[in-house]
Amino acid sequence: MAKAPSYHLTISADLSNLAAVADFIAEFSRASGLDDREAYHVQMATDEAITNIVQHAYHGRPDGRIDISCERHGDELVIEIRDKGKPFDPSQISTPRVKGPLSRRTIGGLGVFFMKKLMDSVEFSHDAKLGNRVRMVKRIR
Amino acid sequence: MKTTQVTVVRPRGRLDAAGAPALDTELRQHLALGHRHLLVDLSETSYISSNGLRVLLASFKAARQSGGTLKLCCLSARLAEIFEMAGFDQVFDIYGTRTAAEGAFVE
Repeated sequence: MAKAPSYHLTISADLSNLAAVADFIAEFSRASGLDDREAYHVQMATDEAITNIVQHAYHGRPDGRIDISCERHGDELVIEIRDKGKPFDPSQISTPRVKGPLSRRTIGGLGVFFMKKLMDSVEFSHDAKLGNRVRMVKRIR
Repeated sequence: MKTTQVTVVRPRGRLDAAGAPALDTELRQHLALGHRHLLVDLSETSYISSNGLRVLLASFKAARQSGGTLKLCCLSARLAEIFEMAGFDQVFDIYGTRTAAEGAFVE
């Protein structure tokens, strides 16, 4: 059996790296047999996760390090992103109000909302030594 | 019925967290100059993230407050799906073509 593709990328916490991350995810998605729509979903979920890390965990400090790894396990694509920024507590993220009139809309938490909507599972964890980890899974249909 | 002076803005490439601030600046500048009727043509926009959506929503609210509006046109199928997920298709007037969008600005 062919070895499942495994990809790694380390970037500094700078928003100018988002386009490179998108290319990296596109390549992994293609190699894993995702169609364009699924690949777009994985790209966007990853983009939102990295943006959160840059803007919130590292507060715009561009020297922070972010490690991204992508693997395929059977019919699941697993994207794992690690950082050593401020501990992330997902319970503090509000859920955006995406229905109803404009005046009642709230858009805080839209990034995490998209991650959950676009992927089959999203888990956040924090370890004092290893830092923050977000693990996202997309099932290949 | 009189047609309205419409300002068209056409962002190119990625409206991610790195690209969204430039659009934000451009839209705010137009509003500050009194260009209240804005059309954002997304035909050259390959990607939009939550940061890009926030910029559009903020300018939409600002345009409405000044008696104008902000409409959108020419979304790819990928972008249209993202707008729908966030319920933004219910907030914005979205048109398939620029001509249709421009024709919809009437006073």
